[in-house]
Amino acid sequence: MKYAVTIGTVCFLILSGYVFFPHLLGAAEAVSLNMYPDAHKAYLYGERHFDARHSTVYHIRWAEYFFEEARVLNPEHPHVNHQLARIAFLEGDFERALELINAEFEAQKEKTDLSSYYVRALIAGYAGDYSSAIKDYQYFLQKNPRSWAAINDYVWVLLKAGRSQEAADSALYGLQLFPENPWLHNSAAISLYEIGSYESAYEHVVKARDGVSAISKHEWLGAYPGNDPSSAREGIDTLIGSIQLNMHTIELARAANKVE
Amino acid sequence: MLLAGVFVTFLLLALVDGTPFRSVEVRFSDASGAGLKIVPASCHSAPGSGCSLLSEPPVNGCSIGAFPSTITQGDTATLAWDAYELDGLVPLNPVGSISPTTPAGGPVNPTDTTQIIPGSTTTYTYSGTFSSNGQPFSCQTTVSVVPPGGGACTAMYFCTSAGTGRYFRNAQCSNSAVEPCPYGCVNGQCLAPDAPTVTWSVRPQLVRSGESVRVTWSGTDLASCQVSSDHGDSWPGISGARDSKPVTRQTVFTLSCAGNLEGSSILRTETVNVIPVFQET
Repeated sequence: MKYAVTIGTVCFLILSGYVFFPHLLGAAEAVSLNMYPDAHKAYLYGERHFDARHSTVYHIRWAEYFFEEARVLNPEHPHVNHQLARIAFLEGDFERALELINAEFEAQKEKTDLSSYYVRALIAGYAGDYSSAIKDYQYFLQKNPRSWAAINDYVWVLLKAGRSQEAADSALYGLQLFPENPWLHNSAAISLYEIGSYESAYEHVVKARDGVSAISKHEWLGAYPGNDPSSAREGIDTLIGSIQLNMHTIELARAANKVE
Repeated sequence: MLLAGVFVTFLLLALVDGTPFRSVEVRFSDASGAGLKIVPASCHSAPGSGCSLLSEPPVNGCSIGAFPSTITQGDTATLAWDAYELDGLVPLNPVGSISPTTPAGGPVNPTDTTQIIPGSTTTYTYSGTFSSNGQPFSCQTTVSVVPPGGGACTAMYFCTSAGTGRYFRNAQCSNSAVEPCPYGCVNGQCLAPDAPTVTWSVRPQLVRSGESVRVTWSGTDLASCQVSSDHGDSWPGISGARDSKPVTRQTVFTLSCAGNLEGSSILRTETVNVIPVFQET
């Protein structure tokens, strides 16, 4: 009985420590910051709690708290508005996210990080402002044409803007650089379907289906930084489900095309 | 007491942490014009971050691409190339150059980008050798250059690959649906329906009083048909096979059809006679 109680207590302490660790760390950091206020220190604490690949300390509320503290201590600290914009975006508050990312542009001016253009494009895309998203993705890709995610997202907003041929061209360009990328294969399949190239669309959606089966949770979190690590499986399922649906639609179109 | 304490503590922990955070990205997919699901990514959203994951080794030892791949004369594009630098843990030491020569000229870094301003459509080749094993590598990309005001595409109508519809592509390469083509599409134009044709028969054409006749009809490129007689028969449909009412006197059957081709129609008639009965008086 004594041993059972001891083992149970130890397990409980380990488990509660694991669950409670972000809060313990956050509380200790908050105390440290209170004693020695420093904008950059607050920013680093925020980054620590906002990294999806460190699941033991990931906590978006603590991240937001420290970024806000950093902003209070120095509103022009590089990236602080950017990070708060990301948090607002992840929470679905696109209006606030846009205000914050524009505040980043205002604060940093010509020193604005390229990723801020990317985030602003992402926010605009989710909010339905495709023309603004297209401009920012184009700027980003002019400076960094080797980003599979920027190419993929650029294809997304081109498709939403009805520019299917350009979307297909961009997706196929991306696949020259990243020939196994399932996001790009999915986007290429959609673009080609939209312009009536069902056979080519089918080839790419098959590659998307084959490629997505190899995506690990770690890779998904790398593609979607800032997300709760526990949501990776759900995110991968979203991609798998979308590809499966697309495959079904494309197969039907191919079959109808052959009958005719 | 201990167990109760453990239970309460876990309950408090659950309340403190609440449910895991689920961002708008996790379940997001966006519908294209045709309803297919696009899934955007976001790996550059963290400042200074790259998308190092999923950048696979280049095919054929290298890759090269230009963005945008079609430009207006006088505009710039960004050329990006990448040669495979490691085989497992063994460095390959690629040494190569771009042809035609980039503005900087000479050998280039294995992974790099540069701005280019081609005066006309140009194919760029990145080639060289891996100095560790002497193996060559080579890859190409083409930048299309269109004249100013010419647009990146030629405005034109085109058919879908299934031939069921007609689209228009403008000079900015934007496609838009024009109309469906129920009778097919060739060279960007919908095909008109053919003139209607019909075959029908009324048999036999000579019957004893009280017998029925068999009426059959069918055709091509028909919108509608109606078969009737002056004895009260009436059947709609673009094809059919029916037995008439008992014929007791001469009866005229009429087939009337409208074709798919606007203004086209078909009218046919057949007469059925009754064999007279002779009685001695």
